[in-house]
Amino acid sequence: MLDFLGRFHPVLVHLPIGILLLAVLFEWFPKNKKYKSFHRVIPITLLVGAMGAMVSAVTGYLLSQSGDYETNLVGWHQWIGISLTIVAFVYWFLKSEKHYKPFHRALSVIVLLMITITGHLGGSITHGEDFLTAGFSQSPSYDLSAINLDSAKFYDDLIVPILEDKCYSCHGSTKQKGKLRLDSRTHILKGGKDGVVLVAGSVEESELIDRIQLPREHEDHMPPKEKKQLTTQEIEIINLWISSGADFAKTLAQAGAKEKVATILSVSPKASPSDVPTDPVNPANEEVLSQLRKLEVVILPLAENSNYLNANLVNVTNLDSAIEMLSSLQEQLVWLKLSDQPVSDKHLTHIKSLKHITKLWLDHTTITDAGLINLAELKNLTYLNLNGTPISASGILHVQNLKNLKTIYLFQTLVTIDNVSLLKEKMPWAHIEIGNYRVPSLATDTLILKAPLN
Amino acid sequence: MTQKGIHTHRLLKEVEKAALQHKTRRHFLKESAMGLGALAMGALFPGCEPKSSVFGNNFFDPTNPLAPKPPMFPGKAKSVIYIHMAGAPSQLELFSYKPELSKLDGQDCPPSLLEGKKFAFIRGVPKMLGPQAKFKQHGQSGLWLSENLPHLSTVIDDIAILNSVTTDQFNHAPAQLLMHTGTARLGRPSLGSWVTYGLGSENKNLPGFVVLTSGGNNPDAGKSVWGSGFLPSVYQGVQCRSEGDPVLFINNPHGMDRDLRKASIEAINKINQEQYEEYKDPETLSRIAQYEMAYKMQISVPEVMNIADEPAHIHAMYGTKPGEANFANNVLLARKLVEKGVRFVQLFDWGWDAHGDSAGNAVDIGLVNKCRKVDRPITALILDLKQRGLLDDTLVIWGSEFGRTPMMENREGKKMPFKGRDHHAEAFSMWMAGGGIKGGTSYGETDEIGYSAVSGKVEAFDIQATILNQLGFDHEKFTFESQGRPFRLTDVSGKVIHQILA
Repeated sequence: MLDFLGRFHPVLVHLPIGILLLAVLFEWFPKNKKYKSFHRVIPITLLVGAMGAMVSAVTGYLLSQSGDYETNLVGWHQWIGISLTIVAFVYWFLKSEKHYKPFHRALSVIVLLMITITGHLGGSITHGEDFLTAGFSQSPSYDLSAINLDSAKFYDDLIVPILEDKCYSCHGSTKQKGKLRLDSRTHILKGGKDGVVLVAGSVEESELIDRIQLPREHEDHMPPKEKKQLTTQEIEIINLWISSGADFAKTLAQAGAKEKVATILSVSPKASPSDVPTDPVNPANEEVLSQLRKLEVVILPLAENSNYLNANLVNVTNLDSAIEMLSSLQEQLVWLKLSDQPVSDKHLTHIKSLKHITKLWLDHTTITDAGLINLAELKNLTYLNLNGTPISASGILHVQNLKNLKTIYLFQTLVTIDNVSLLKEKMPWAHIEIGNYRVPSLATDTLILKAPLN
Repeated sequence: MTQKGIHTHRLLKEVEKAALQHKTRRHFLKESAMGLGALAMGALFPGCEPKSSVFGNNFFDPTNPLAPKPPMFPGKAKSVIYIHMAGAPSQLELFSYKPELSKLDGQDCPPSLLEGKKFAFIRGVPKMLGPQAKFKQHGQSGLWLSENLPHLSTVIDDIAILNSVTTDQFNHAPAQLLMHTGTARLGRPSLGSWVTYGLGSENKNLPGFVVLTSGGNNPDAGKSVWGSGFLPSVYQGVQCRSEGDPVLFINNPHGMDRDLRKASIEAINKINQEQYEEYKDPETLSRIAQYEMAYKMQISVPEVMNIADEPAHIHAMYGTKPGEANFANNVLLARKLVEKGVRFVQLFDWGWDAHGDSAGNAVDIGLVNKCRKVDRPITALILDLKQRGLLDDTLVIWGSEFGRTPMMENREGKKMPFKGRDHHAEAFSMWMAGGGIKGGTSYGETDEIGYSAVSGKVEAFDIQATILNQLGFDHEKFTFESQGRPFRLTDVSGKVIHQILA
């Protein structure tokens, strides 16, 4: 019952705050005839305000006994609140008895200050200490993908940032909802009102993760449905931590979780594919870009904030000048599509210097084996499409030292299925795709079912 | 001074004062005290403004609306082929293996599955209907697939199956609109329009968004399902045909040669240009660009839409017959279009609504025949994209607007002449392949009779978010401002399905 009454505190506090502020305001109105009536209501305003303050103080005390709140923050809030109640009564008494008139305005300033301070402390308890200044500070940016997995500690470097971002505001130093704190090893192990929340090695018995994984609509789901939720990645990491023994000291490697964490983190949408370089690069010369665009080269950054470029010559009519000009973009150009254009070996000499190229389309062009020697130094190449060209296995040998090549497309070329095994031997890291797939004919393909006659 | 003189003088003073209010520094500061304060507030409190991205604004060049644009982040896919089976194929005869359901075959549906539920046609207590196809595990992944898709089972390790797709619409048209435009009501842009708006088209001679339909009918939702909504009209899907002229009226009429056509288009554009000089309406510039593009397409479209020149082994692979209007031809065309740089190809095949009201609509007769028509072409598509080096950056999606009930339909409470299933919104299957999708995976599980999703539940918004993610867009930041507020394809929902990404 007392606990129930205490919960009225957050509602009731607003009454004395407003009423006392009104009294302070009236006090500072000019003391002339026009405002006389305002001065006359100050004593009754103060009395109502002071009584409200008293009720708030009592309910506040009851609420603090529930134990959901951090004692040292409550302490100041409580004592200033109680003092405010006393000061308000004194102020009312002096005002109604018209004693010590010169001190009235001074008292009003004291009341104003005390309301401000105790109100602010109260707000900090409810909304968290950083609530007021949250707009100034940048969002608590932690980047799990930036963690060095070799040296990272499982608890300190992975679990703490997640808990800090998603749990501490209610289960931390300021508030302990359900008597649970999650901001240190001792507190986590101690558990909350309903007992232990973490059972090392057992995901099923650990309420910590169980609650997070309940459907969002479920009453017991954590964080509460209106609060910021954990991402799938974060949930998987906590799951892994608990199932690997919930150790507070070990590094990822010691917990035997390094590979698993790497897999979890690698599904991040921001993880760039390896055909997109990550080193910073200067922006390309605008002059060159605009000239290329005049030649109808589709030339675009890989992404809106990237300086790396992707070029497609599908619309080009003046191929010679366009390809020649591309060589001045050797730092930035990473994807180059020359498909379906009359590209010949002499054009490839200009491509030779494009050392950052990762994806290169030369399909349906007129290049030959000899021309491929120009690609021998394109160390970053991961994708090479030579479909529909008169290339044979001996041409491919020119690029046999490109260790990053993941796939070479050789559909409709002179490379035969027998050559593939030879090439595989030379370049075991690459997938040689010669295509020529067939979809076999099945008896059912042409059979049409009909309704049974009866 | 006369009365009139005073009056005039006052008026002049007032005008002067009004003019001064706009001029003096004192007035400026006084009047703008609040405004300056607001500006300062804006600068002091970061975080309210969306992060600057051109995709947060309405961003297109009206003189060249299809000009290619970079994505937000490097996307794995550059093109999309979206194959939609209009009418809703039964997941229980294709992807969703439910041995428990066969045990219940012919029994009354338990009331727990009917209480509080609404169905399009089922009334009273229907009978359960066991799977009408045999299932087997396939490939290295060991995923289950029915005997109705013998060819697709050979490429199972290239596709990712979503088994717990759900929707909140059980009628065809609204469910199709939800899947493609993000709302069950008319008026929003389709997925293909969003993508074409966001990325433009690299081949200047071809449209960015092409639609091909087969099966004898357009989808129930009509052309809105590839409409541009509030996006500029130039981003709507261009419907092409695989029989006769690929685009209606693409050939010059009798007696008009190409030079004359050119001259008349130039004259029209000149008049439009004058109109633009006068009114400065950017839509006029779009119109000029569209005329020019149409002129170019008169040559380029018939060329790319001609499948007759494809070699015999390709025709054998897809099962195509040049000159006919059928699904296989459309699939081959989709590959050709994507190869030439078309951004988004949308296929609709009609006739999957297996209610059991006729043999053609029976899950053990008509559905099987339908499967035989699509199984070969979709398998060929995956293999062909693979050998051409296109599967890496082409996202293929196969799906429908909803699924079908584990119960046999009993329209108006009566037994149907054939075995059929009613519309079912709570669980159905779709699959994706290529464009950064992890092949040989399945995501989501349904209960043992395939009635509702148990885990891995996804909805249209999640699929849309995933498609945009693969193309390099954050679906939450990719917006277009209309009627005073920014709109998103995924509205206020959508989560990228990371579980199926490579």
